[in-house]
Amino acid sequence: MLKQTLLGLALAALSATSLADEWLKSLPDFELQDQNGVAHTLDQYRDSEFIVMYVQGVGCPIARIALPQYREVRDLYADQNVEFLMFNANIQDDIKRISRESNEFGIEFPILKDEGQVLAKALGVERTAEVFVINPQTQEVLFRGPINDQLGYETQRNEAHDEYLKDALDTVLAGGTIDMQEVPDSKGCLVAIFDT
Amino acid sequence: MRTKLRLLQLAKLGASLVAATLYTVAGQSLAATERVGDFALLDEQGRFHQLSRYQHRDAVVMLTLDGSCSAAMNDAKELGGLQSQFGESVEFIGLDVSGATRSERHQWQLPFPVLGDEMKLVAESLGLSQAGEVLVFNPERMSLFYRGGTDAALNERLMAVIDDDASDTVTADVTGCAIEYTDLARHKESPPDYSTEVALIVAENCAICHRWGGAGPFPFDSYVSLLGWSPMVREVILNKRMPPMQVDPEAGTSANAHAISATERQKLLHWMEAGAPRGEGEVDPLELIPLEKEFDWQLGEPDFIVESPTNIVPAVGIQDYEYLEVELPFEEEKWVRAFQYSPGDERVLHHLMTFVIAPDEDFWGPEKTKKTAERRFLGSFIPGENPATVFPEGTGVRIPAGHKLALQFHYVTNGLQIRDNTSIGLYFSDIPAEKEILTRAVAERFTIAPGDSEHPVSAAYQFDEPVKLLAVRARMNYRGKHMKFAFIQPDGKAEDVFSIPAYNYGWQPHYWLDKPVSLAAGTKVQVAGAFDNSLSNPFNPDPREAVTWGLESWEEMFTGYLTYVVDD
Repeated sequence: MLKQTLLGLALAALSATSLADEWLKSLPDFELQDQNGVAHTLDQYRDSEFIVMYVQGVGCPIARIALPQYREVRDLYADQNVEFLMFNANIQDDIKRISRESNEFGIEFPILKDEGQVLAKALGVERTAEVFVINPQTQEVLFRGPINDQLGYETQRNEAHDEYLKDALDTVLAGGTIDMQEVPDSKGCLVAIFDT
Repeated sequence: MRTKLRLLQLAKLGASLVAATLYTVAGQSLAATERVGDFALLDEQGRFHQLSRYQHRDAVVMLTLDGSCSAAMNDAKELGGLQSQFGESVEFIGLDVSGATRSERHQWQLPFPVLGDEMKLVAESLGLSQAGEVLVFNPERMSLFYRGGTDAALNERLMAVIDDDASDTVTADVTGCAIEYTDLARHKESPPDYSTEVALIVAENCAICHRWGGAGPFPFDSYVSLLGWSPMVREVILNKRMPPMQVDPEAGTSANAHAISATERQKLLHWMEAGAPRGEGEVDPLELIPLEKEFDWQLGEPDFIVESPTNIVPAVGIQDYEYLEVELPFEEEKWVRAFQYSPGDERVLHHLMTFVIAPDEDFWGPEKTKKTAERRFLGSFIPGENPATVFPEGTGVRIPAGHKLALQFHYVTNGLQIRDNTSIGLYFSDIPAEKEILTRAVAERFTIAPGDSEHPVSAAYQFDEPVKLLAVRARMNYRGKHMKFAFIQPDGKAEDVFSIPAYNYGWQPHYWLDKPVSLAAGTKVQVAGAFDNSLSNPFNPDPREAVTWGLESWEEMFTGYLTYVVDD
């Protein structure tokens, strides 16, 4: 554990590598356990129209407060064969902590523990509470960003003006492509990435 | 093994520092967009500037300055010309990396504010290599439109920005003076030690709240927890979001204001830049931080306990204030020498203020109808602060017979529905205090136009008797931006006594001055500040609305509270 070296710091401030075409990456194959010890693989979601993945983090205020909004979107697309998952790539969050958080905050979504940060690195994760919309057949990321524009640092709005995730799902379900220029960067807690 | 990994990290950081240059070599067709992190600094007047709070501007132009670099100082004049050309929609600032004092920066007489980056932490984070280097920020996307010098390329780029024809980062050559990062180089070679330096800084400054059972949403309870949170720690240090309640350190001091010293900030950030090594220390100080201890009445059993009924705080959403008036059972006047809050749940109770009010008044007392009013303010609760207050020897807050207490609760939601049961313990003195603690509210009325990012308001009051000022407090709502307390002595001498350059509605402490200030009879108090009703203010519920004075949370107020005793 102690041999890990921090990479994530360079992300926001020093990186000049976020070329537009690299922003949306691909989801790798995975086999990961959730907070209840249940294993999840990409293969078991191949038949979904789309997979949505939420970057969860223990103790992150925005990741906590966005939960009801994620739930609301899931309920809205309940009969559209879209799978809603979460994953946690924080090195400080082991399964035990994730399980405690999910009990305390009543998180019913499977939270896949991203051991080795394989998903986070492949997807280019920067912050918690960001959501990714993925085509499970091609494994391509079609959208990434905030669920909506309600949440900020130490602040929130009671109503959303822009529903980025809903708009994205409507677009891809109708066979369209999302204009990522219109989507702001997600707000949430920075995830530290390591080169283990 | 560990050494090898760290070397790899050094190489990576080095590569990203020069990445912008590499793209220039390859030509502009790559259309790379360099993203930047948020940062905040004070300028030569002690005013607060934060990159992400310039979103109402098309761009922010920042020139790197060093008083000993004549090329950069000449560039500053060039920039003045561009400022007159583009100043309508573009913000211009300077960034001093030479550690010049405020008065030195003032003497440069530049037409734009010059931010002080004494430890060069912002310069490092932005990868600045020379004094004379200009960055043009896109504050909406937190990226760069331009990195280069002050020559024609800059003018061209600004034309593109105002024509809405820019998104990627254009780079150009700079001829300035190299910035030497000697501290960073030294720290990369020999990083600050985790167990004897870094962990102690975190334990003292952060783990007061960020511990198990504390007010912070997560604990720093091990090396790994700090490692995992370190990019976040770095971000909130660079944009001054944490520790909360920072003030201008050059205009009065208060134990209620939090700050991490410049040297400590540098150690923390450089330790991270060096790969955040665990070091050789056997003991992990963060693992030794005890659980927040159970509540106890620090001053013994109170003489009287005010119990608030249960407030139910929902899981999410913005909460209006909750008010409570409490009748007291005393037939004679009482003198409070000390009090302690017993917060029900510090995770959601963000402030609680208590006034003594007359039988026919409510929480706002005479402030409802008067711009300036004398109040009896008991005190406030803020998460992470000591909930007990003992008034200075010989002083106390008087509760006249038949008066009540009025409480205002401000809750923030944290994702859980919380039932909050808060109480206040009061400690009385047997005899009246020699001096009564009073609080003077000094306010002004106003209307703020939609979108106005800096609507100035000021209020004044003259003390007709000599007073000793003990504490100050700024009171505004979501659009509050900054507030400063200054005094104009009868002989005309003006002095700043306290300044809150980045007001945050969520953190409203009563700042007890480390050194009480004696004011001669006839001293005028000036409270000056501003509101931000633009989209750059993240707390603004609606920048499209004009806002007027009022006591409700969707209205705005501008009140400076001055807590004092008459000083004869």
